[in-house]
Amino acid sequence: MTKYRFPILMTVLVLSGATAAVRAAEPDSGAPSPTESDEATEEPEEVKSDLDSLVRVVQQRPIVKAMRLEIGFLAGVSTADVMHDQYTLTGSGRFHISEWLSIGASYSKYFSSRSKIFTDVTGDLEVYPELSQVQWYAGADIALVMFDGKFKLFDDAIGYWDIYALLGGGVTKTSRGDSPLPTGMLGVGMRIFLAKWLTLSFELRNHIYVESFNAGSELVNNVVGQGGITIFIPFGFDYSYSK
Amino acid sequence: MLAATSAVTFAAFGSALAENPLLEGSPPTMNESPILKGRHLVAPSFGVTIGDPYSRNLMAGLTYRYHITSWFGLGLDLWAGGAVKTALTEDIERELSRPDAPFKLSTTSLTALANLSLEFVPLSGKAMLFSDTLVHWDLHLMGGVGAAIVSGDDRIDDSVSLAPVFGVGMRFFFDRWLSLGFDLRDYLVNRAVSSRKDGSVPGSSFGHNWLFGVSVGFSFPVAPNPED
Repeated sequence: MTKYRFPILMTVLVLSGATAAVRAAEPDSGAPSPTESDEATEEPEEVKSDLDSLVRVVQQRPIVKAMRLEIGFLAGVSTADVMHDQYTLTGSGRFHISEWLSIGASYSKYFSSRSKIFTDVTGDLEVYPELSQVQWYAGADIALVMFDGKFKLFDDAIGYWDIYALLGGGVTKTSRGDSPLPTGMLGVGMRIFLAKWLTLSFELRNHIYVESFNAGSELVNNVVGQGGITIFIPFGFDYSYSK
Repeated sequence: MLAATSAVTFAAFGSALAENPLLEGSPPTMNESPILKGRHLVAPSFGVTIGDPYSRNLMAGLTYRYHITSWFGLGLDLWAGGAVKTALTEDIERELSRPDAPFKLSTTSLTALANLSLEFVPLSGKAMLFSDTLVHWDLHLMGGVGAAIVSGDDRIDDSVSLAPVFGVGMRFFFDRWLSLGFDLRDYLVNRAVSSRKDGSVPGSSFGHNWLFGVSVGFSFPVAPNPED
């Protein structure tokens, strides 16, 4: 019997494999043959199941800011002194501790020229005011996100945005002295996300400091409106949990 | 620069949508309950002009809008108020005054503004306030033309000027019928801003008058009709 065991075993294996192959080619027993209507029913079910995998009651946050660095480049206009037309270039860095809280620092360089009001006051009125041109500002701040959400753009696309409040301080250097002046800062900003790593950013900041003039000290509210782009690093992010 | 920025913006939004091919061809939103379309908005406002050299205008106003579509509306804006001297004016008067001859700078101010407006709403959506309260919001651009009543002071006569206006604003709807609005408008008004030291008045010219306003809006009908 031993000499016939291997051939018998091989025969059983071959027959078993052939039987399995035939069964795979046949439709399920008891089920009718597929028709066009069945195929049409199966495709929407497949699509529906794929859509189910995409749509959830609680959606993943589309933009994740936490633990990312944000580098900003902005240009703006200052209203500190009506005697000068003042423009700013600002570089900023911000680290997002969470989705709603971040800390940052910025440096603004000012570029000034005499305004029309200066020409009118000195020419028509023959009054020569004490001048104070802002030269630069450096400071740090905390940002708190108040609003975040999404919007529809021209009924065609969806974008994401947020609005944040700024609180901070630093120093302002003006033309009236060699020492920078201690400065407090309040502001509000808005980001529109163009991509996961790129935003259009707009800020309105009020730099508050005390300037010394010959006629006495004066509290100055230097309101700066600026806009530009910011870049998030790393450029992308991963979710901790699957969708 | 604006065209390039717009192109980048649309390209960025388009690429985000393409990540879900099963949704390709679908509208960005469905079954909307439009907050603006087919509704009237009446908004009492308070505003202040900014960047004025000699007199700052404080104004109260009323805005009416009817939005034909979710992105286009038309309406009427009315403002009235008075002016206060700026610190620059006080400094000039103090510098030029003598004990026996006080100097008063003649200036003009905006007494009233009225204009018809067209409004475009390129951006609208939803946002969470402090991750707690859902609000609808929109960003709108407006343009129009109207008239300004300019009040003169001492040497300068009152006048009426054609007043084109352009502006941008945002509205936040805390309820279907109640909104808070912020607007920045530029009224172009033909006027002489101040007199000279010798009392003569320079010729009038169109100048920018930036008006920042805050408004509380009431929308009618109270509940918007959902889209079909």
